[in-house]
Amino acid sequence: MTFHSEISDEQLVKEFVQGDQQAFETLYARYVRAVHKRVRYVVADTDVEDVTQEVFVAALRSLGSFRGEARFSTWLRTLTNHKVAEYYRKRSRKKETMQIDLIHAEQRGDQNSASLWEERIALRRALLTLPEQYREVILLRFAEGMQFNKIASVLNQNPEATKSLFRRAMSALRNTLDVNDDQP
Amino acid sequence: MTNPEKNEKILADQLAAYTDLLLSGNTHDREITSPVPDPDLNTLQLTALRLQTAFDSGEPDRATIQRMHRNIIQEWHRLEQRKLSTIWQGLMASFRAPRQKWASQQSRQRFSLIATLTAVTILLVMAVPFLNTTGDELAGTSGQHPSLYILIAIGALILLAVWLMRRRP
Repeated sequence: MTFHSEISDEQLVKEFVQGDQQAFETLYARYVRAVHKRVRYVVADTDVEDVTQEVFVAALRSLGSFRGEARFSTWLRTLTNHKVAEYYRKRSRKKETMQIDLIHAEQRGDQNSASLWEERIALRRALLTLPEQYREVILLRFAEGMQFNKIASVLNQNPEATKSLFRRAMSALRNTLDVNDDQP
Repeated sequence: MTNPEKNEKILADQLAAYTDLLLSGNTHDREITSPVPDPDLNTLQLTALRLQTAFDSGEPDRATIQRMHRNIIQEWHRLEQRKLSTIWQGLMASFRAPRQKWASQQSRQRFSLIATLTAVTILLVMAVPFLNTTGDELAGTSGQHPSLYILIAIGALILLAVWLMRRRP
């Protein structure tokens, strides 16, 4: 007897396409935390759940067209990025959403919580202004907890080049934060 | 390797090592991994620390994961239903489209004319064997064929009826 937990992602996709809904449950269990965490780094706290759900609904609807040319995890990551971009396109209210976040935090009346939310807002805002490859390497390391060797293979680079990219990405993030912190 | 390249590599390695430590939970402070204090490295480490601290907590709990799962499946079923009904509506529309075209004034007139002509032709063809072309039975009608006249009259009546029944714009 084969358990779903032992099966590769790509095989699970095949089984789902053939009508085994349980295969999706396994894929969901494997990736929900990673997707949620990635979304949380770039989307307002109040909308993280919605966007995460939208990613999986979109995955369910398009798994039939998954050809297996890329790994499932890469495919899902791209889908997540598209959904985040769609989220901002639809609303076009980055600032508004972040302000709502802050209002929620203030309503809680918890100073620590409010400052943490404010910090998240600042970091999200800075992350969103970074070039895509910089944002990606930071999210792979921080949001997905991927080791540099693994990131290097995902990005088709050698580990040294990946670490250098990470260093440049962090410098860009720091500079953006400095500029934003200086603004009123 | 030139000096700036060497420095860049050292800086990248040190930042990577610090980030690994930070994310493994082995450092909770502004621990400096470089033996020589480097302001550039320090600020980068601080940025890494800010990121880690801000997003450290907040992983969805079991209940949230289950709730999201229920919502996802519900939404998927709803969208699939909508897709099915859209396909069905598309199918119905494809049937309706010719009828709308059919309903145009010009098409209706053309159809009426063709239908009438076809009906008259069929009627004539079917009636030919029964027509008395010798005129034996109606002697004294100087070679005329009354059945043929009746048929022509019927055809003309049908044409007239269709013409009168047509819808005017």
